[in-house]
Amino acid sequence: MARILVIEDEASIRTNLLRFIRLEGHDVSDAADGRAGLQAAKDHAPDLIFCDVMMPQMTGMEVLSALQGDKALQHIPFIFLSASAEPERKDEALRRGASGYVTKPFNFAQLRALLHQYLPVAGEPPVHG
Amino acid sequence: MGFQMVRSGAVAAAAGTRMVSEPDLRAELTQLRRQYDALLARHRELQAEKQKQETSANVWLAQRTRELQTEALDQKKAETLQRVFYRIAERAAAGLSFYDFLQSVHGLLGELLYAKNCYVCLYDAQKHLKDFHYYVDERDGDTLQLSNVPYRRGLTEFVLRTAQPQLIDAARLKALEAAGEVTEGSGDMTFTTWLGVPMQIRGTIGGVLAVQGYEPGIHYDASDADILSFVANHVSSAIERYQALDDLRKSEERYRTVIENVGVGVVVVQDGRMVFANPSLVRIVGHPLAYLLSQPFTAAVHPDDVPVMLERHQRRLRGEPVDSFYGFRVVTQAGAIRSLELSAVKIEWGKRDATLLFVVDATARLESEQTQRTTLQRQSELNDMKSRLISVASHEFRTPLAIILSSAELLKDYGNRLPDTEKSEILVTIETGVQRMTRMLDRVLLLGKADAHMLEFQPREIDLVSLCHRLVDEVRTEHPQSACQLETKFAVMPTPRLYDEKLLRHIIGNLLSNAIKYSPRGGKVVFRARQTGENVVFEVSDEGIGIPADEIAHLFESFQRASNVGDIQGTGLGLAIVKNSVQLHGGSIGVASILGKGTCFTVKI
Repeated sequence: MARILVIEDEASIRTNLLRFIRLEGHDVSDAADGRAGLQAAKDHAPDLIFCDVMMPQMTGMEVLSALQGDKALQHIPFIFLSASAEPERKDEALRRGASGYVTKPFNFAQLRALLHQYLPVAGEPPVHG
Repeated sequence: MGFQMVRSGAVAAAAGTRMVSEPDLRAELTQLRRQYDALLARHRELQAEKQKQETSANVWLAQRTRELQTEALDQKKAETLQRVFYRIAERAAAGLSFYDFLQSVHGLLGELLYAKNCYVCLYDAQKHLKDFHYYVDERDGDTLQLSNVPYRRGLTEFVLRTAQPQLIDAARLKALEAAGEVTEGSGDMTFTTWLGVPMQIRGTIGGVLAVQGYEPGIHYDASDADILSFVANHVSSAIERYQALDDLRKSEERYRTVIENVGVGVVVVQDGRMVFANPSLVRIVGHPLAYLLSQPFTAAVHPDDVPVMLERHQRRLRGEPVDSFYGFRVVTQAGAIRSLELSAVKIEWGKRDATLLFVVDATARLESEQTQRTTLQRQSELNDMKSRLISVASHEFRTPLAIILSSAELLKDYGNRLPDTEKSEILVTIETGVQRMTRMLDRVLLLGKADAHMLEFQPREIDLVSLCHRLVDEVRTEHPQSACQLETKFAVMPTPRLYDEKLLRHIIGNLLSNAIKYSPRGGKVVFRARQTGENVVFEVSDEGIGIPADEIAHLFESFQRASNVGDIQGTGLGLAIVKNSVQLHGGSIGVASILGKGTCFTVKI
C-alpha cells in the first residue's frame, strides 16, 4: 500500500481522486492549495504526488520547485494534473523534474498506468524504502 | 450840291435885271430849258442808278440772309450731332444691356436721319459668322435678329467686303445683283433706299450699321452716309468697351464659378474681418454669410482655438514664417463642433494686405479615422477576449469536464463497491459539473452578444423596488448556505426613467451574488438603492475578501478574475456583463475595495 498525496484546489476533483486512490487500495492524503500541499509532502513523505498547476497561494510549479530543492523529497514521483493542454507547458513541467503531466479531463486508465509505473509492485517495499 | 447852287445863282441874277430885251429872254429861256432837261435826265439817271444800287443790296441781303440761315442750320445740325454722340457715349457708359444700348442708339439715330428701320450686325471673321444683335424693320420685324448667321453674299457682306459706306437704291441693287456682288440678300429687298456703313472694331471691319426705307419719297445721300459713319464710329467704340467688359465679366464669371462651386471654403481676411467668403465656407462654418462678414473673423472659431489662430494670423501678416496648414475647430450656429483644416497665404486685396484662407471640413475624415481607430481597438479587444476565451475554455472548461469524467468513471469502474449514499453524491457532482459548464456557456454567449453590441436594450417602465426585492429573494435562494447577513435600504421614488428589466437583473443579480460568493466567512452585505435627480444609484457592499488594488483596472474585462479568489467558483464573466448592461443604460459603474476588508460597487443609471 502506497501513500499518495493529492494537491488540488477544485473540491469535486479532489474528492473523486481521493475516492479513486482509496478504491485502488492506497493511502491518500490531500491539500486544497499549493502551500498546504508542500507542507503535507514534508509531513507525510508520500510515495507519489498528484498536483494541480493553477492554484491559490502557491502554484503547482512552485510546489515542484520547492520539492526539487529538498533532497529528502526530490525523489518523490510528481505528476501534474493540469487544465493547460499546451505542449510547451508539459515540456516545461517535465524539464523541471515532473514525472508526468496529465491533461484534464484525465481518465482513470491513465492514472492507473502512472500508479503502476511509479509505485512498488504490491507486496514489495517501495523503491525508496 | 454845287450844281444846285449854280442854278439858283442864275435865277437870282435874272430877277434882278428887268430891262433885258425879249430875244435875249427867249434865248435865255431856251438855254434854261436845255439846262432843265439836262438836269432832269441827270436826275433820272441818278434815280436809275439808285434803283440799281438798291436792288443789288437787296439781292445781297437776301443771299446773305440765306447764307446765314444755312449756317444756323448747319450749326443746329452740328449741335444735334454733338448731342447725339454725347448721348451715345453716355448710354454706352450707363451699364445697359448691349441690346438696350443699341435700341437707344436707334432712337438717337432718328434725330439725325430717317431711321425707321435699322440693324446692327457684328461679324466674327474667325468663325465666319454674323450676329445680328439688333434688327428692327417695318417689314421683317425682328425675325432676322439672329446669331451665328453664316457669311453669304448679301448687302451686309458687301459693306464688310468693300469696307466703304454703301448707298443702294433699287437700280443699284439690280446692278450689284447683275454683277454678282449681292446675290443672297436676306430680308425684304424691296426697299427704296438702303444705307450701310462699316464699323471698325479693334482695328478691323467688325460689323455693319444699316438703315433702310421702303417709302418712295425717302432717299439717303452722301451726307446721310457721313452722319451714319460718324454714328457707326461711336457705336464701334462703345462695342469695343462692351466686348472688353464682356470678356472681363466672362473671365470673372469663370473665376467666380470656380470659387463658388469649389468644395473648399475660400475666405479673404482683412483688418481682422472676413471681406469675402464663398458659399462652401458658409456651409462649412455653419453660420450665415451676413454674420460672418459682420464679426471678427474668428467669431465662429472654437474659443480654445482662437488664441493660436490669432497668433498665426498676426505672424503671417508680419511676414514671419508660420505653418500654412493647420487644424482648428468651429462651433456652428446650431452649436455643433466641426474640425476644419486650413491653409493660408498672404495676398493683396484692394491694394492692401490680406490673408487668403482655404478651409476644408475634416470632421467626417477625422470621425472616420476615429471610427477606424475604435474599430481596430474593438477588434483588438475582441481578439484579446477570444484568446482569453480559448485560454479559459482550455482551463475552466477542462475542470468541470474532469469532475464529470472522474465521477462517471468512479460509477462505472467501482459502482459495485460504492455505498449508495456515495453513488448519489457522485451523481450530484456530475449534475453540478454539467450545470457549471452550462452556466459558463450561457455567460460566454451573453458576453459575446454584449461585445458584438447584440444585447437587447428594451427600456420599459418598471417597479424598481419590487424588482430589487425579487432579486434579493432569488440570491438568497441561490446561496442557501451563505453566512452573510443581507440588508436592503431602498429610497427610490417612482421615476420617469425607463429601464430594461433583463439587464437590471444581470447588473443587480451579479453584484449581489458576487458579494455573497466572495464573503466566505459571512459578514454584512448591504444593498442600497437611492434617488439622485433623475438617476437611481444602486450600491452593493460586502465585507468579503476584497480585490487587490492593482487588479481593479482589469476587473470588468471578460474572463478576468482576481488573484485572491481561491477556490471560489467563477468564470470571470459576471462583471463584464454588468458593465455592458450599465453602459446600455447610459450609466456608470464604480468600485471601491480594501483587500481583506470588503468591496463596494456603485452603479448610477
